[in-house]
Amino acid sequence: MASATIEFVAARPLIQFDHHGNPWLQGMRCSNCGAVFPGQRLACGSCGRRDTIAATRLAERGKLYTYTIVRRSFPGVAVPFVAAVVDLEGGGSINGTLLEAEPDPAKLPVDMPVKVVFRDTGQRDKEGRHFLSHFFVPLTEQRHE
Amino acid sequence: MNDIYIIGIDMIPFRRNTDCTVAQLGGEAALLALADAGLAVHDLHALYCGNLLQASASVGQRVMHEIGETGIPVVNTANACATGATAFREAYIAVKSGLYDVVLALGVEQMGRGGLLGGGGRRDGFVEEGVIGSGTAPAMFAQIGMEHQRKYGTTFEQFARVAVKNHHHATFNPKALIQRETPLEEVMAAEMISYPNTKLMCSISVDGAAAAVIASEKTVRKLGLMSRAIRVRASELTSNPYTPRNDAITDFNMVTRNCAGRAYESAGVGPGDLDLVELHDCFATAEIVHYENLGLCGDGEAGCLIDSGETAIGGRIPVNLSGGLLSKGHPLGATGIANLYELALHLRGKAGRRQVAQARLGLAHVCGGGPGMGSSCAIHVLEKV
Repeated sequence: MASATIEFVAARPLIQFDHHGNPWLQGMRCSNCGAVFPGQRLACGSCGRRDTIAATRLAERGKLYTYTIVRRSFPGVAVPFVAAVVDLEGGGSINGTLLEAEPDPAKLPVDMPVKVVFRDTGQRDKEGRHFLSHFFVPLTEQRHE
Repeated sequence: MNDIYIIGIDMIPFRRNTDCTVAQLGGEAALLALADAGLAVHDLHALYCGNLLQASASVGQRVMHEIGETGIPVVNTANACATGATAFREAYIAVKSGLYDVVLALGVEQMGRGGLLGGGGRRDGFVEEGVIGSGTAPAMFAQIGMEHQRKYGTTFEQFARVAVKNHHHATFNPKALIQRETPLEEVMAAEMISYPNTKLMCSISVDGAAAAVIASEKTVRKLGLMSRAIRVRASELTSNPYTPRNDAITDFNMVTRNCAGRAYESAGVGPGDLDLVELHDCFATAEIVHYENLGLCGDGEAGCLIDSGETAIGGRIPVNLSGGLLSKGHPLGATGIANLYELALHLRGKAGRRQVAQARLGLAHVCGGGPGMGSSCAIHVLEKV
């Protein structure tokens, strides 16, 4: 993903980079109540304990929980697109845009398996770094990325 | 002898793109509510002013500048779509505590143009919309509807029926912005904004204001206003509890269920005792999920409930007789008090052609929030004296 010529910056705080520059999704897991949530918090959102939460790597596969097909958005935003909510394997749910799927309710079954991919958004910050975001794509038997 | 009453309440007809100031809109509603109570600005001990979009701009003080600068305490509240109801509840708590005898609760909003809401810019310049899903209100509530569909098989047509019903109700409300029938075919064929909500299934961005004068029992008796007073049987407020998905999809269900449970408990009534409900139909999909969240039917039965006509005028439990946010419009901070005004009309027997016969108990619900912002819910139960 990372190259010598392009410097990436995360579009969201839950996207972290390892020492090779590869992106991953950061979440937290609570050993007291078992809650798993994306990003970071000062205490567990579920039980409130501070001493039992630790950073964890979230899975990059999951299932489509709910979605909508956005046909009108803010000026300049390309439509239609599928705004999806995905339950990740092992816990944690994140929202994002589902790519490579037809924006048709008949083609978007309940619990459709998806995988998380990281892509250049085409947007840049003031220093010229490329914003990298997570997206979802359908996970099919044929697909081995 | 410690009950709390509404003794004056009114709203201005909501309008699009007014050229007056937010203070003038709020002042208009404040004076209408005072006139309804037969009181003057000098009778007020405090003002609780709900406004969301100008939360840092001392809207309450500016309203007092319009109607009389008496120097009373002014509290400005902002709490998503529960902003107006939160102002009302703070006013209720202040009178209930014995601190003040007569206070004004006001909700006012000037929406400006463009109605999708959400999607505020980020400091680093990154535009999330379309890249990280959608932050628009129609998309958020569409996802809530699709969640209901996956659980219970609720159809696009059933969601659309909510708009047909509420627009029908609005034809009996001279203060509704849209007073026009919208047949099912028209609702379903309207521009798709965010599936399954078409344009006619989205509330309308308007400017508006509504206000209520709240008084202690002692004061109501002293003023001889008991014959037109309305008792506040419950005033409850919740924020979203933890849900495993709440970083991905804002919770409007548990926050409403928790609030409804508290409201029924403190009022000592159940959903079967209600004569009418004004609930937060910011989108048609929202009304469906809130039928269940408020206990008007069992889980999974909301689609059947709208099909049955029981929530329509003349039905078992009429919902949004005012025409709802879908017809009246939704000026965020004003909405929570405007729906109390609708209840008050029925409890006073002044609702004209949409009057619920012998209405005694009504429930008003508002619920809002946003992606990454959590949610708020306020519920009030009002009773005819």
